[in-house]
Amino acid sequence: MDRKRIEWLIFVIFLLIDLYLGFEIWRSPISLGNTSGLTTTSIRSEMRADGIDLPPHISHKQQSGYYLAARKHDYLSPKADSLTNVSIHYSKNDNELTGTPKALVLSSGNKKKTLQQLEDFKNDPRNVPYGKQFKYNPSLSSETTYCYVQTTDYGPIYDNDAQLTINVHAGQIVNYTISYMGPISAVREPQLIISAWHAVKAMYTDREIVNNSRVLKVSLGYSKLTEVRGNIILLPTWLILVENKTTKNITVKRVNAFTAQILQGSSYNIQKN
Amino acid sequence: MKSRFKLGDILLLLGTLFVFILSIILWIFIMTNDQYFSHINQTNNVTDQEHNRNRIASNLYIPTSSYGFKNGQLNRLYDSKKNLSLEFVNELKDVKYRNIEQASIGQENYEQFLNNPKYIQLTFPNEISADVLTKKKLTQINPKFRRIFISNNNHYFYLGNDRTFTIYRIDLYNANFSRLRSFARNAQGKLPVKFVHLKDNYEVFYTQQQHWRVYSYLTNSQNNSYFVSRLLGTAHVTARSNKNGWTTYSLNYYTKLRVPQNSTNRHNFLYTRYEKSQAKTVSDQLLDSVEYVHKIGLSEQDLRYFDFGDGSVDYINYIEGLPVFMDDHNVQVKTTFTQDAVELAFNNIDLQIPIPFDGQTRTLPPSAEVMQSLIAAGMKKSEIQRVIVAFRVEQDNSHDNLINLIPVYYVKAYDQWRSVSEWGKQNFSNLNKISSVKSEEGK
Repeated sequence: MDRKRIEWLIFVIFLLIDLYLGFEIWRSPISLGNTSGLTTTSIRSEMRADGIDLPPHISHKQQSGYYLAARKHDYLSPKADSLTNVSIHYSKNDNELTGTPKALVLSSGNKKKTLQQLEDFKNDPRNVPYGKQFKYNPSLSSETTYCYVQTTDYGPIYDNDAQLTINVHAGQIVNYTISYMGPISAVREPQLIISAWHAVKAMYTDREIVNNSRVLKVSLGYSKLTEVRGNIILLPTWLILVENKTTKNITVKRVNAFTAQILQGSSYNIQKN
Repeated sequence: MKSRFKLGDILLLLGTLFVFILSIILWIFIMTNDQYFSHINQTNNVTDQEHNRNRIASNLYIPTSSYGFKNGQLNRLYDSKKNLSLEFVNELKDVKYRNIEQASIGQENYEQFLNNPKYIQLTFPNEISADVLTKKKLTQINPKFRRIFISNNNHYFYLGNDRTFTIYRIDLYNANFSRLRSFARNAQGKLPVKFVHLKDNYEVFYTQQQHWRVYSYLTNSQNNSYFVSRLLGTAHVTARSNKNGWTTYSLNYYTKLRVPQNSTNRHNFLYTRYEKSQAKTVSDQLLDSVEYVHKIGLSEQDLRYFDFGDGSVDYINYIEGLPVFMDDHNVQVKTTFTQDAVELAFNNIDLQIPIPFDGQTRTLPPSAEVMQSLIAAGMKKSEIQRVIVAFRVEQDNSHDNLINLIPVYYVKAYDQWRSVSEWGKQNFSNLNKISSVKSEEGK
């Protein structure tokens, strides 16, 4: 009887072992060759199905970009004395200067003429410090707010700390606000960055583009990453403008052009008046 | 009644024998047969995989150094604003490769090519197969090479194999290297160098004492669960810790990941996947390793192919043209293929944010002096494979996760990479004995 019990015990133990091994074989291992599996074509058709419109041509070509750095410094307040045409207020905390024209400055006529008048205004060093380094950006502007971004040898900077905003009301320049990062230099040699299409794809797969919207523009610029050892570090970013087809609201989002990660907390809305 | 008992006994015995034999068969199946698993891969879209693999390979297999002549002097070229290797890769994007053929063979001819001022040279740290560059096999031979010679002609360039002293010519369509030539002519940094033949390649020797910059980086390390999830998945993973400070996560018997416990200051991970496979060609090893490297999920921005040998393919971060060794002498990722397993040894420290150069430099002697000092210490000259300048990682206590990259000489000898100071602590007599035994066995 004891021998029979032992036989049953062995039978049950090995049966359990077999079941376990069988289960292990049945369970599939993770495949390291696995890719996203989504081809360009299928992503495009999925986006179309979600009501997302894309610009007619988005580049698939990889470009190169730099890590840039700017020395943290107060560049604006030393310029106060030369700003003879405007009354100024400097905020040390925000490193931001606000200028209000002492005399009436008109910005009348059609859009083109207005832009030329504003261009002349900001390029005059008695009005705006470092004005020539700022370039008009229509995507960030509205009817009453004309936005200019700081330009560098490496490309434009899209950041609140490198921006000039001229407020216009009833055909007159009301005031402007400027922040300036100072001279920009490359920290390391250029590196490969992702293509514009890769950036849009990354946003879509991360569900950052809502259904029923339109991608208006994809452009490359630099955004602030962090501050270290008294330097502001900038990295290349794809700036993607997305318009909601229903509300017509425009949202600006940024994608790290080195890693294809979405820069969290960097998106903002543009009000079109 | 009695016979029924006997039948029951026999059935029990047979059943026990059956489950016993079945368990052995299943065990052998798990340990040796990978056909079931490889079948899963076949269901993936092969074209997509190939495209993806080629895209990643294009970023990892980039020449890491460039050389040109000025007034008859060979120089290592460097420009902080124009990455010459990257420019070459960009110019290759629209190029069609037509044909590849052997142009010359022999040490004398090879050295004439090396020292010919009309060529710009771009080099990989070790040999790669031609199809890794061309993305397709142009001939059955699929030659291996380490350096590319760009002439003034856009219709072809040459590939050079240091080991066999062979030059191959590739005919091109739609190539234009004029920007690269212009960048090379106007490169800011030109360090005088010369080529010296070592064990099986031509090494770049710095002929003068040089001041090398110390760079700093903020680093980032993904946690263990990130790598467990990427390499093993999230379901059915079990963990087992041991007293030596390691935790092993297992998906099943044949797939596991060893990670350092958080209490330790280690960053070395080891992924092992047991699977039977046939011996791979060099080209297969190089390209297969790319998928594994990508799967780990480390930053690939500065990651480049670095070394190859004994079934392993190594990848390392390159900063301003120099490789960065982790933990004194380890590479960033080491992929090893054997007939029974695939192993990935990697370090999880990513060089995340570069810090502006603050003026710190280190002065290093000419390469020949370094080699002579090692030979004087007992290193066998015939065992010296590489002599390079590379970065050693040093913690900077002024800021969390801040590291400094210190330029020092690294030497590969006896098939091991070590810094010169590490070699200084080695007992060469033992290493020389082992290498003598190996070479005797080789004969």
